[in-house]
Amino acid sequence: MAVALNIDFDNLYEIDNISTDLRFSSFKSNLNNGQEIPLVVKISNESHALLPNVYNLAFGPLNPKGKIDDKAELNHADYSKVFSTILFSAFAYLKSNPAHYLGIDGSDNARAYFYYRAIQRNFRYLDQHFRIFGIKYFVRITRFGKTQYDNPFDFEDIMPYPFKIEKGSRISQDEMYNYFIFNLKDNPINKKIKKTL
Amino acid sequence: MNQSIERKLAALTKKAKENGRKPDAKAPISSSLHKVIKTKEQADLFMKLLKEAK
Repeated sequence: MAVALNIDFDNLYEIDNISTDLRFSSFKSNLNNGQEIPLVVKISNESHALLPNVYNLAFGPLNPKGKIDDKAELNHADYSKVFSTILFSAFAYLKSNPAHYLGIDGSDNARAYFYYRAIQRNFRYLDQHFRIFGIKYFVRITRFGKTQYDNPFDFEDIMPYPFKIEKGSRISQDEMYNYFIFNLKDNPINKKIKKTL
Repeated sequence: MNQSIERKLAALTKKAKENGRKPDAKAPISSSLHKVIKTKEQADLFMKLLKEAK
């Protein structure tokens, strides 16, 4: 996906279907082949027992089973408009749920790198509204084995570590974040933390 | 935030409240992050780092 995205909340597709809790929305994107395809934005509706304020955001076309196909490869006529609409849906949700965080899985390295490049390219615009983090998963080394065949990694002991994404920070595709999280920049929780620091 | 965005947000929120569809039935969350975090200590440390990241 070598596309230069320009996020702009004044350049949106019409959201034609939305749920009362703002967790579901859909709109139609025009494809390069002239077809129109419905895209769905969905925010998980059940929180993780240990992470009560972090919700997953997924988007894409629906597969025949009615699930979001986040690996679908589509040629959108206007990627900027598609991603602006997806982010605007997320923005509306966060405005109604200011204590929540939303997360996006980079379903593969290429897609995660695409998101990262889009964040960097639109940093000034996004930074007005969101705090954005890249999350890396680190695996614990137990101890080095006696032979080169011993596995020193404990894959049951993984620590996710957030890095605040800043303008101009560079990271290679091979070292790309596993997950992206964002929340509202201007929210009461951030203000409370600033006061205590 | 500029007025045009504020108006769009207000319109979308109004649309959701007045004509929105019923929320979906609850489904378990299935992100990689949620799979990785398995203990309360891990979750608490992660949230602390996230909240304090400057």
